Amino acid sequence: MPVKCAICDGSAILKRPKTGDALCKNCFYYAFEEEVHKTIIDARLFTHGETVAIGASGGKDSTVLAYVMKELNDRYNYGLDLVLLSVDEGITGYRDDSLETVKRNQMQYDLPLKIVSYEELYGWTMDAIVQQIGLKNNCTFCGVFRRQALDRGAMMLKVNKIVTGHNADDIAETVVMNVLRGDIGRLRRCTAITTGAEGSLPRCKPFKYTYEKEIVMYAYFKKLDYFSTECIYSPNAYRGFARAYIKDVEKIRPSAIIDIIHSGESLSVKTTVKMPVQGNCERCGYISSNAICKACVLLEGLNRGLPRLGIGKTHKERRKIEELSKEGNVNPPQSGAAERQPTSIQTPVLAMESLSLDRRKPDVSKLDF
Amino acid sequence: MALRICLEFSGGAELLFNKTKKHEVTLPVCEKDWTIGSLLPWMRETMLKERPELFMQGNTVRPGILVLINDSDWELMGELDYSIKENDRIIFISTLHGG
Amino acid sequence: MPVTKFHPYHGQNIRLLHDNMVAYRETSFAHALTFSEKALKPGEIFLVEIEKNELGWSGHMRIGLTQFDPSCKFELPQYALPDLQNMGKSWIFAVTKSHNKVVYSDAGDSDSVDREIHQSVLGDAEVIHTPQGSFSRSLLLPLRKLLSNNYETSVSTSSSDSALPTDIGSRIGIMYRVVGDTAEMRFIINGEDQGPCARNIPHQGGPLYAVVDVYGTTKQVRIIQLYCEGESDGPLQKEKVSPGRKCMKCRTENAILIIRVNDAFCKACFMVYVTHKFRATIGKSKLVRDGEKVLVAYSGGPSSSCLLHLITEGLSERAHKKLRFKPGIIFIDESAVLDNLIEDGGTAKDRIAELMVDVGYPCQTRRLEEAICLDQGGHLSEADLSSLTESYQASVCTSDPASPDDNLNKARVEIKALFSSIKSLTAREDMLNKLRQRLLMEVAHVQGYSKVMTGHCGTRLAVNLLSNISQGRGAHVAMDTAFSDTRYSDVMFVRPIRDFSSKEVAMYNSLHGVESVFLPTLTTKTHEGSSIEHLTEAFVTGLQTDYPSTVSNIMRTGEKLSTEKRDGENSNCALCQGPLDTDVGASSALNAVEFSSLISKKKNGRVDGCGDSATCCGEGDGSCHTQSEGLKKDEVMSVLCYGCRMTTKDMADPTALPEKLFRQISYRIRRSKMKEDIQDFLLDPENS
Repeated sequence: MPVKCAICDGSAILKRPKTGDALCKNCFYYAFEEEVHKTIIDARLFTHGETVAIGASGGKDSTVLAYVMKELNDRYNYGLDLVLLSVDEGITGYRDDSLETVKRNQMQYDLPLKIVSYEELYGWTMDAIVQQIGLKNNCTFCGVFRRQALDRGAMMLKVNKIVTGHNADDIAETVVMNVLRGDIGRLRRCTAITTGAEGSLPRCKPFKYTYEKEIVMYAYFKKLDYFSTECIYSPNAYRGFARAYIKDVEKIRPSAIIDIIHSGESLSVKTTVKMPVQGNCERCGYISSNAICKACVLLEGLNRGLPRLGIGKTHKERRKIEELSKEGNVNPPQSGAAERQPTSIQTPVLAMESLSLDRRKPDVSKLDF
Repeated sequence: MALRICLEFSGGAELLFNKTKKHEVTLPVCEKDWTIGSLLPWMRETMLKERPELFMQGNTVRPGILVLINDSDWELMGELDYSIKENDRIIFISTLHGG
Repeated sequence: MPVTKFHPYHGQNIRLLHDNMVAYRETSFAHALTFSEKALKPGEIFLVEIEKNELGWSGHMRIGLTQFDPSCKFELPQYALPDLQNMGKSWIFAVTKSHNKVVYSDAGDSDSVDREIHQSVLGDAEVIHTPQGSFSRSLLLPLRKLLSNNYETSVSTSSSDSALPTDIGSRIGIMYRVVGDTAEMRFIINGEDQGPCARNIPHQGGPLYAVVDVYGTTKQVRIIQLYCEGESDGPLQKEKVSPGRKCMKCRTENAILIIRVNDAFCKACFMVYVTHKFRATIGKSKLVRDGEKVLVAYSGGPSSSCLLHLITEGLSERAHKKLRFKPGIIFIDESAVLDNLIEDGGTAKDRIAELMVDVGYPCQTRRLEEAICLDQGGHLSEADLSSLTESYQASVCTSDPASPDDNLNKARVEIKALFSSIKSLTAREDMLNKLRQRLLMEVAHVQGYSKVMTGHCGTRLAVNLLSNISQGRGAHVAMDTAFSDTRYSDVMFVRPIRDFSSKEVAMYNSLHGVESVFLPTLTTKTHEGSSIEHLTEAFVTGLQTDYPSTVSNIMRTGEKLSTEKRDGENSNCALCQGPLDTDVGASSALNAVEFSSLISKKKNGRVDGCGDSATCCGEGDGSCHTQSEGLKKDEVMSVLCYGCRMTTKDMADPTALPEKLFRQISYRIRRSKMKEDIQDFLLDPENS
């Protein structure tokens, strides 16, 4: 006997992972899109006339996001100018293929597309970085660089906001990971639907309450074109634990993903706990809790042939850099940052202050935005 | 030479071993030295009554089961590499809720 | 891994041990100069612990910085002070009982040796960042101080408990930082920055080595490793320990256990450590008063058995720093909801009763079903409980299944029905936890106990924290894991062994021969994925095996969260008494999930169609005509917190809660309706 659709009494073809209700294809689309719309409206994510960049990787989340954003923008007259923004990390056999997907999406959805590459932004492709650093820690580079790359690309396009395809599973996973690491600062921030309002471009996550499984279903039934190969470089092991846990909990209680997000939203941090102060990187101006942002530290390491600089707790490389800098610059200038944080020991990056910056690569801070 | 040792189970681990807390066992003669690494599979084959996955994971004990060798944490004794000696007392304590 | 060591060139009376990390003065009191193997970097802390003292000398260790390079094998003077100092390029001070915070003014004016307030270079975060790497603040503390400050973020004890800088165990750090063109030197003694004690050090004139003169009463010092390599994103992975390690405290006995992340302890030191930790946790909280009646919850399991043993020891006459509260012991018989697992339950329960009686304090056995014999006011009425008087006879009639008490038998039937109506094991476990908590609270209240002590160890609490997060109870996790839980108005729950790992508990029990009785739980012998709590336990213990800081990281998360409780009868959940966390804005997970279930049922408009029908359960189109004392599912839900809503959703019929529980909820609902009705006439909204 065919199962009836819970909404229209037609014949259902799927069971919603989020609620367990049996739905037909069209009612599923309807429910899916209405939920995203509601998320956007409730959180007042956009205002009429804004230009919004959709971070597009070619993967399922961003492909579905681009499709749904365009759909809702037309249907509910958000009045947004949408653009696709892609980052080319320079990973042969992975990103070049997925970028092809993004290019096809551009045609299909008729949205302008901007591709910014690591090579143009930083002077390094991920392939070249992996050659330097090996397969351990390369994700650190990629993650740090990507975060900024989107911002930089978005600024070039003069957009007002960035939307990313982070879904409910991603956010739940981040909550769990920050609990496991005892990282209270990130734990507090990670459930916010919009981040980085001051200093950098606001980023929002319209899929905050959308299940990954439903995104896959949506893409599958809509026959959306996406690229689903995993990155050829190994993923972050520790995050993998949190992900596995989320998936296991979801099996026991499907609502757990939203439940975890609810938990994250209702945590209140003791007022006595000090939170890291967000400032701006003194070198490139991007938002950073240190005097110099991680991207600049990593980049400096790469350019100096000391790629492990800024990674982990090995500081031999850092010392090497200091020694190098002493040879050429015996009298290091004092940093203004030391005054900004009078109570802390020099942060690792402060040691970099004294470096003479003979960069082989173009200076990212001088890019014309 | 055959080795006589004492194996003890508590915290619920005994449920998997015939609900008996203390087992005096004799390990058969073996070419190589008996180690915890070779004892565990032997226990699984000869002693475990049910649900081996609740006692072992891969080639070692399941996380949450504390192993004491003569009252010392096995982490300090070389874990799986520890060479078992005559009259050793090896205790498996489940620290998991409900065994 | 860059290990910090002593330089192999040193004074003639020094012998270096343990891979050049320990300096021992074999004889005399002099010729004991040692240096760091490498020059220090700005901000790097060179930390030593005093391991042995020798009486009969006057004066103590000297420490400082020098620009003499030990690799040049220059002729070593007899003493650091004044000889090495006089050779120049050296900045050295003696460590004294009360370190004098010497501050020279920049002007060099001797009159203005001012008492300027310096700011600590350490900041107040738990993790201390230096250019050489980051490490936990606790590493700067002597073990004794650490024990009395366990897991505390701020180090501000000035108690007599703290070690003198010259005592064994004291940890002395030295560092310099660049200020303008020169550097200033600072001592960090037992976790406290002493402020600048030498300024205008021309650090550009040559590398600065740490110099330690193992002088006078100081006999042996060890370098404490602060910097080691780790992965950037995750916590430190476990290191393989080489067999035959010595105790890190007494250095003589073989270690039997690794505690914290990598500290090996011998049996005797472990015992001292555990007992001290227990007493310090209670003492530091300043919550348990002399002569106060404290109800100790005992389950027969390892943690509560350990707690009971620690309490008995602490109350005994021979105990140093005796505990002074008045304990009563309670065991809750949960067999009503575990009847499929009851095999041998009888003998185990008898054994538990015997063990309780043996301890010699008032003790009682209660049955879980008594938790639903609660009246609408929320408190037990005498009629419902036949024997609330305390007894030294633990095996009273309540553990006899043939008890004539009708109320209890009725409750037993009800509670069984309740549990069989709950579909998931996750929700059953949650309900059991809530009912147990409720019963403990009620018994304590009726019998005049102001505190309930539970044997939750850190591992258990970490599992609970994550498991609660996964069940939508984020708002409660801080209360659930803190030392004290104040959600009930007149009974406080305290967790005195929350700083113990389950391994420490197991080791304690094993070494003391503490007997624990195994009783099956809802998840005994089930597979890992049988419930969220069970899964989370497997996850956390699995991770803990490879990353030994997992449990303490999770606990640290809990400690930074607020435990503030809101007032007013309608701000707490009617079932679990936790803060009601459902008053959230439009943009929230709760709102999103409600919308989801709404939108994938019927088209807009039809959903609310039957809302006014008094006979409807509130679900669907009103055709079911469920009658439930006029209470609708939505109404029941409205007085429950998010987590309890999830649990009741797993029940076949959420309005089928046990009568008394249900009445209590109805009472709450009626009260809030009444309040709504008179809302406009209430003058002070706070005073409700």
